[in-house]
Amino acid sequence: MATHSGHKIASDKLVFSLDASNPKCYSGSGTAVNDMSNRNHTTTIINGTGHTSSYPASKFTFDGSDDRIDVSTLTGRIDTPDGFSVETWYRGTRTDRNHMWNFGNVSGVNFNCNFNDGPYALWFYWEGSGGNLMTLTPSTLNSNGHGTSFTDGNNHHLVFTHTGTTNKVYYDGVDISSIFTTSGTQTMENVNATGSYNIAGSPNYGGDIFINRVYKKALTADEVTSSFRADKDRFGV
Amino acid sequence: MNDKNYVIIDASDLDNIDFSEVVETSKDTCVLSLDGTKSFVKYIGEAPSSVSALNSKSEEYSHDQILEILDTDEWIEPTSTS
Repeated sequence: MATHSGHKIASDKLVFSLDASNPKCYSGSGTAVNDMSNRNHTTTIINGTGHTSSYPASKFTFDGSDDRIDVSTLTGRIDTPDGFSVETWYRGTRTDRNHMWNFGNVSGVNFNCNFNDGPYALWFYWEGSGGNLMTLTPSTLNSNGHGTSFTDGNNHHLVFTHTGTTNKVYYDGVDISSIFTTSGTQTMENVNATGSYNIAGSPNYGGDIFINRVYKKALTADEVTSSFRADKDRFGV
Repeated sequence: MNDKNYVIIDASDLDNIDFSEVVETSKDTCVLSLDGTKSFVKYIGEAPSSVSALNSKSEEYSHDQILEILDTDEWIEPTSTS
C-alpha cells in the first residue's frame, strides 16, 4: 500500500478501496469503477455521479438527489471476529439529512452514516430504524473544537471502527468517540449489507468523496493516525 | 456548479422514459417517494422528448430546489430513536 510522508496507509484486511485519484480505480469515463482491494468488488457509478480529475486530489461528486456508487458484491454480514472499519476522505456540502454510506437497505440489519438528521450532526445507526446508535449534536461537536457540522464544505477524514461492543469514531485524526451519545445494542452481530454496500445512497449524500475504504477489522488508533497523516497534506487538513 | 434540471414525474411514467435521454441509469435506480407514487429524472439543458411527452409532470426545478423538495416528509422518512 502507498506511503506518503513516511506514514503508511493500513492495508491489513482491506476488503474495499475506492480512490478517485488512482486512474486504475477510475479511468475518468464510463460507469465501471475498480475496487483497489484484492477483493475486486463490482463497483458501479449510478445516476450520473460525477468525477473530476485534479491535483492534488481527484474526486467523485454526488449531487445529493440520487447520485451514488454501488458496491453490489460487498454483501452479507459485515462484522467479523476482528470487527470492521470504514474510512473516508470527503467534502460534504449538503446541510440537510444525507447518508454518506450505507450497508444494506433493509431496516433491522442495515448500518448507516447519517449526517444532519434532526438534532444531530452525525448519527450512526444500525440494526433498525435508529435506536441502536451513536449520536452527536452540533453544539457538542462545536464545544469540543470541531465546528458545528461534519458537512461544512471542507475536506475531512472520518473513520468508524467496531469490534465487540466497542465503537470508535475518528475525525481528522482525533478520536472523538467519547463525545458521542450511545444507546441500544453496541454489538453489530446482525448487520448485513443486504442489497449492497453503497456510497451516498438514500437519503443521498451531497458533496465529494476522495477515498473510501472498508476493512474487516477494527483499525487501531495508530493505524488511523498513520492513514490520516499519510494523506492530510494532500487534502489540506 | 450543478447545471442539471429536475422534473418530478409519476412513478408509473418511469416506463415511458428513454433512459438514454436522462442522467439516471435506469428505472431501477430512480428514487421513489415514500408512498411509491412519485419519482424524478434529471437532464442537462432542455427537457428531452420522452420527458416532454409526459402528461403528468412537475415544473422544472433547479438543483437547490429539488434538494429542498427531497428533504420533505413526502420523500424522506424521519429516523427514530425508539
